[in-house]
Amino acid sequence: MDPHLWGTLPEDILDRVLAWLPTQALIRSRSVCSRWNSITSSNTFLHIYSRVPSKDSWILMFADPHYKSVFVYIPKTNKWLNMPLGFLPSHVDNVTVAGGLLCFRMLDSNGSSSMCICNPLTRTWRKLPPMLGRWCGNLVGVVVDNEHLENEERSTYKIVVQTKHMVPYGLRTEVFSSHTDLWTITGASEANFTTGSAFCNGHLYFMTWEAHNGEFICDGVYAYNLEQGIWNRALAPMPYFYICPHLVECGGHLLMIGGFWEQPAITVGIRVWELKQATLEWAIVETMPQHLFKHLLKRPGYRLFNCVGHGELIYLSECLSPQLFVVFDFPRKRW
Amino acid sequence: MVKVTLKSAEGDVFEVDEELALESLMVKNMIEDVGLDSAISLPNVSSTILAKVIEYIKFHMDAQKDGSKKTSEEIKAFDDDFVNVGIPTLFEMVLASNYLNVKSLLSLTCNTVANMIKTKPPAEVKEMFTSAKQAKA
Repeated sequence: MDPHLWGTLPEDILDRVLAWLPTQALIRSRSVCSRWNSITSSNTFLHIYSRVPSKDSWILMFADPHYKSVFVYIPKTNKWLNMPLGFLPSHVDNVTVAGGLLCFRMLDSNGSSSMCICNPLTRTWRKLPPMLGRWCGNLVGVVVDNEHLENEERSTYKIVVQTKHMVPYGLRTEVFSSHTDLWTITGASEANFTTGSAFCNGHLYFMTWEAHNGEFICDGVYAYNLEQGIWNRALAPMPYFYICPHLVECGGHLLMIGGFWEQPAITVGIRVWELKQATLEWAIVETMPQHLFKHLLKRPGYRLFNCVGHGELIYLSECLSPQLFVVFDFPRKRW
Repeated sequence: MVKVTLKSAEGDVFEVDEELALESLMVKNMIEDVGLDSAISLPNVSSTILAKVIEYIKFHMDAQKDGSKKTSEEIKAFDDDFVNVGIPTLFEMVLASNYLNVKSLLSLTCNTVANMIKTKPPAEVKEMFTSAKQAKA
């Protein structure tokens, strides 16, 4: 056998071979030689790469409040990585993750805010053009469009923020589109949002809640129609939460996950609700078994958890130790 | 059933159903251009490889037919077995599926090569993919 057989592989086929590598091996392959490094960074390659199905997905979880590193969980191989983010500027906050991109805010030296976008794999980031109004930090939503790739070389993303304006006075919703590289104002927004959103069927859903005397009071769920730039309030009555709730998208369903508190025999636990579009009601899907709940939130008095939707699965982890988590399989209703 | 005649590099003749032949986009284009009257010549594909490609397409066409009792496990087992060949054969199959433009086979073979690469350290991968010209230089 010719020992240099693979060396004769035409470059367009080599592209196709490399496109099948799992993410970690692909990054490693960039150190094989300069030719491979340039092949795997080229637009032609990325185009092929985006079409190869069943990629190993990564789940990013932050435990460091200064965002100096991020925990990465790879479900396919059940492995954890710790990815350093030391290349980011020093004062970042409002970090939002979507479709493999990190979106964050940084404070400029003149006191104004800039939104930035980062690809943690290529360790590159850039400052987006200035927002039109003043940053007010209540809302950040990121939507990455990986599906309409037919006409696009790369996936596009949109970032939704809320800004303050003087004339006319008030809060507005601004949307940045990577396609046009521009911010546009789409309309007024009134509510005080908390960050954390879920994108489901063309709408970005945000929840508004306030911590009040140890309770979480939810005002409701607001839906922002990304196509039309219109806000709507989902009038579904909200359950009472004992533990901060999260919104998660799962296979076209909008789910809400939070802690409940029930009388008369005082029971505390985590429960999943689904927004029924037809009746606009939050229907109970499942309650986490008590032993898992006690395992997840075992620090006394600690009532915060992270929640990530991934395909058909939802990963719940305690904020301080993301490596310990409980998985919920939504279609099979299994914990 | 309309038949298509394919001629390998060695000049061996393979008679296959038109439906099967059309799975190769390259053959499909050739049929559209020159019709079915003469044999379709495939000078880049050896008889051994052409027979394997035909076997692959036939299995998957049967598996997709209504009433097929093949489970996804059986299909996967067939695919695994199909690419469990020596390096030179795998290499030929990558080239042939690219030339014949059989998308599913190209994916299968490229994925197999990627699986060979993914566990190797970069230095070994480099050695594997060095051409004779680069090795001498």
